[in-house]
Amino acid sequence: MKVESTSLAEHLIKISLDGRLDIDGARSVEDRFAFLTTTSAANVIVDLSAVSFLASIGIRMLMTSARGQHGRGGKLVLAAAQPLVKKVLVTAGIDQLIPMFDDVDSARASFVGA
Amino acid sequence: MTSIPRGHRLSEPDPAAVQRHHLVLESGKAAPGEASVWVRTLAQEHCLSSDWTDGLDLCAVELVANIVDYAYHGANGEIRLELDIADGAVNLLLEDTGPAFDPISRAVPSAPVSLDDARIGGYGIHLVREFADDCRYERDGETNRICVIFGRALPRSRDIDRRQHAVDGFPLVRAGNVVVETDQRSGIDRRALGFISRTDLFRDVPYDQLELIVAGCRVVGYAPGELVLAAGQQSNQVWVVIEGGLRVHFDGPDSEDFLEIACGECAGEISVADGKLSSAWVVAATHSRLLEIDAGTFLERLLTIPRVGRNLIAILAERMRRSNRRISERVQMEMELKALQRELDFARRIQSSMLPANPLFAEEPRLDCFGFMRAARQVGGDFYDALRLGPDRYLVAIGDVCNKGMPAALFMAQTLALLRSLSLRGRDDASAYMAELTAEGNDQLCRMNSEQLFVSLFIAVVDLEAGELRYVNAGHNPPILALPGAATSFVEVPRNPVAGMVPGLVYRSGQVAFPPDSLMLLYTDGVTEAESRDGSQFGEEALVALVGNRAGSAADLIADVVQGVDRFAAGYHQADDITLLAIGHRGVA
Repeated sequence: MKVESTSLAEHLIKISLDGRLDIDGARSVEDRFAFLTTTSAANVIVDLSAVSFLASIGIRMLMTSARGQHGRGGKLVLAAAQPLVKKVLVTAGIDQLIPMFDDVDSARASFVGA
Repeated sequence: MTSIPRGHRLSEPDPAAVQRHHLVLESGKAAPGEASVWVRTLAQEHCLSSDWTDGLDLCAVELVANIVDYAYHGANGEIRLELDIADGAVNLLLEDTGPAFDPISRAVPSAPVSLDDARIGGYGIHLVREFADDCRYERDGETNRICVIFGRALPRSRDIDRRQHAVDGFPLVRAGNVVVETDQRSGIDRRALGFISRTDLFRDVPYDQLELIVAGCRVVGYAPGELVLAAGQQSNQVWVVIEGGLRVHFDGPDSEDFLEIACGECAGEISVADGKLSSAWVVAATHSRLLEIDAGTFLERLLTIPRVGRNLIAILAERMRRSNRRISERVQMEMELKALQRELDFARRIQSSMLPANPLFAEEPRLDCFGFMRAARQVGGDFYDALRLGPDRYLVAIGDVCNKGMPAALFMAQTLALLRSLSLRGRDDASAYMAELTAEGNDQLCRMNSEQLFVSLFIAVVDLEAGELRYVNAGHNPPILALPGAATSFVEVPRNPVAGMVPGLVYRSGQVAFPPDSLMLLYTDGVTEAESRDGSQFGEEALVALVGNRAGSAADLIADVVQGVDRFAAGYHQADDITLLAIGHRGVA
């Protein structure tokens, strides 16, 4: 599983995940993901467009980061989830806790003027 | 990856056209991933829809991870997977032999109100329930079995066997030459006998071969605790457990140590095979129904079916493996314990070598000083220290880390090292020096304290020339002071908070006269709170009395206190570390 970060604006980064966010996937990226979310700008867009699979362990990773970001006065949002990943997130009720956007642009727009 | 459109089916789906795939995984970190690859590959080979493929993948990953974590708790174990695929239906079956646990019945997580209230984990089973059309759990003997259903529930393949082969062996002849004209079994017995082709002994034996033989056998009910076979008896039967379970006791019918024979397993086969007397008691564990196969039928008609012989060997091998595994686990555990023990002994030696050696301040004839520590466990959280600051000035300290064992020992080592490094920054003003030392020590401990431990400290600087003693007490038991010509008393004030919890504290120091022939005893609460069997404590008065009545040296006093505490406890276990330090001013040598 791959993870990449791009700075979109001041205090806003995009973290793109690529691959299966199952147990092995989460294990391989969680340290780097935690590092990126805890040490970078306050607002984070997680680009899920290249994530083909999401298991509960991946939900845990996203929730931990979202909560941490919230605690640091920032915000973490999810963008561009594929249908299966979206279904998993909605089924677990995560969409009610972490804002979800259809694409990175609309996620980005949500931060403008915030 | 498209399924065949339903309208183009050539004929009605054949319920028997179930394709079954097996996989056995060793429980571990890699298992969920392996299960996922297996399920996904098969789903693609069978051209299942992407919805079902993804759903199966998710269910396999979540349930296997659940088994790895909760059924086997990270230890070794087997996870059996079975994937049944038929037209319009896929069933995924998972089996483990961990403790009985039904994940399906766990409560649905309630919808969280906010991010902070929400659980960060525990969504796995919820996802499985939502993605599959149905989930079922059953406990079968020692096996947890979860069936995840997409589409409809498929009949288990051996049930299909039974339906396909008509029973046509009547009239049949039972072992005792009794002729049975027609099949007279009631529905429940039929079902029970149908079940036997799922038992270990008859696994994969064509049902038509079997039914003729077992139809002539009795099904007998047993009440819980009822004896099926006593040790020393000649057994003429093999029992197959159809319902309930058996216990095999080797030391007597009521012994605590027994081997369980679960539903589907058999008993008595060894005794029948070797013709020797039974070596164990076989007792019904619960209400049980057993299929009784007499020795003749078993040896001549069943064992001659190649598959049955093979199954029997597999059963015996599995039993041997089970007991081998049990033995090797025990050996392994013992070895790990021994290694840990060795490390702890090593740690204990290192810890005692950190404390200064007795007699303390041996080079200073005007002082008589002795320390003692005995940890409640291998390593402890108490310590004492004795350092020379200058020609007439000596520092003594005692401390007690809340908590015991290894965490306390590590924090103790940290505190001791810190105290020593800070005490090197000597200052002329002993009171200010002590207050600063404690404050700085407190701040540094707060920074290095991830586990929220804290330490009580009493630090004193003896000035032999001035005949006085300055001290700081950070939440520690007040030391006992014996001055010449005065009653023995506690050094009560000023008190300060313990160190390591709240940074930025200011510590107040105190001062008392310490002329020749004075003595101060520092101790930890392990001394005063040492317990006897009836729950009473050694107490402060007993300690004060020992100081008041002392006759000999600091070492003698400490020996008396330790002896007094041990006599009081009278062998009752030492709950806390016991630490003492006595310092006496001998006067001009």
